[in-house]
Amino acid sequence: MAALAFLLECAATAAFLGTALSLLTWPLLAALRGPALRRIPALRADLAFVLGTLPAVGALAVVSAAAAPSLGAALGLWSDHCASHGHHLHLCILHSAGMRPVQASVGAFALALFLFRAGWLARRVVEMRERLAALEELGTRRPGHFPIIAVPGAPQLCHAVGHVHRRILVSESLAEALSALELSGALAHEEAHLRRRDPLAGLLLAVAGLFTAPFFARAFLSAWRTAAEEACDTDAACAVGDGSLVASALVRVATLQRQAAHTLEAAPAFGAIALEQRVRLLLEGERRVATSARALLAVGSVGAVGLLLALQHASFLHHAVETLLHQLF
Amino acid sequence: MKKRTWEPLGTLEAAVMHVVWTHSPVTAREVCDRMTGPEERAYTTIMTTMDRLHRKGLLLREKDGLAWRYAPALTRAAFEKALADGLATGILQAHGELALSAFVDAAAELDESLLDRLTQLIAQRRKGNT
Repeated sequence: MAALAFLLECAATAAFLGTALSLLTWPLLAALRGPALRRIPALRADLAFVLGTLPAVGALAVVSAAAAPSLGAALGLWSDHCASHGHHLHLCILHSAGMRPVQASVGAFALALFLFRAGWLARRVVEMRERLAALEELGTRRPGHFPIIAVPGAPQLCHAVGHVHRRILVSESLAEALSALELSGALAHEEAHLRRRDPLAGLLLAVAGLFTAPFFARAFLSAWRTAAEEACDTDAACAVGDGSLVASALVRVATLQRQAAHTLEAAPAFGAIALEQRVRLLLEGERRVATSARALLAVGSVGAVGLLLALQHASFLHHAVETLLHQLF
Repeated sequence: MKKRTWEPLGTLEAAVMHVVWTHSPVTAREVCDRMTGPEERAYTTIMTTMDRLHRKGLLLREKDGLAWRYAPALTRAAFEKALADGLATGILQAHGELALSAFVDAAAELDESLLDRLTQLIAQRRKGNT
């Protein structure tokens, strides 16, 4: 019973902190649309990623630190501290002070929602990996900076894939329809995604989104994707030396995909990145700056430092969370 | 009309289809005789697999005496193309944002006039640069 109460208290705390941090960071997305950052899409993507993962990192760090004294006591590492504060709720896996109905309901709802969304996400990742493996078995490998897998079928694919083993998936028919220069522009764009490890970053953002409301998760993901696409356009323009070439490849691929979508009665359904905006930015490419991505490193460092700091102040955070739960419920 | 989509074949199904594609039209007994070594299976297993492939629409069949004689409903290349289309569409529709970074997204949301306008814009810019 005490363990269940502890779990529900942790879930309620994580949900509260994730939502509160999202409410604080979400308005900052508007700042990313400012004129200064528009010129540096890679930095904008990094900041969007940091903002998107901050609620999850913050919630996890605080909940881990707040739960540490109790878990430490359960494992016999720390002394039992519960006798020292009988005046408010206990966040304790050993002794339950009795949960209030509202707190139990909020915790149960938050936990159920988290598990449902996490399960859904895990299922989609597994399904996608199986489908990708089946698709790649039909393809042929071509040499490139990253492996390029040319697959049969309609000209739908020109995608960077792989959370760890990075590769480019391209439809043979699409590669044949593009001129050599256009294809080099398209592949340079995908290579930029892989250098930036965008497929992994996208998955991490989706996982971070589990700690906040779907509305916020979508907003952060959308801001990051838009900036990441523009950053890769800039990188590709630098790589091939001509922004109009990448713009031309964009329009050509969009035209081919549109035709394929009509034939297959299906269409790529994720993320509407404004093609017109990307083309116009590419044609004005000389005003933009290409920089390398540091998002994963930044979030990893911030997360590690944050967790260390939180654990260092575990006792304070433990009592702060107990007081917060006591006041809220 | 909506195009038919295919699921990836299992190991035994793929082995059977390989024989059918290379030796069509064949009976289940002939397929069984050609599957040797690690692919060797009981005749009844092959017969059941071929019946399942027929129900899936991958094999056509007609009576030849007491047995069924099977032929592929589509060539290997056509099957692989259709399978790739189905897999790619499924990945893009259901899982896109999880692992893929696309060169162009949401093509279906673009109308033809916008694409024409952008093509003209690029041509103009290139003309201006030369």
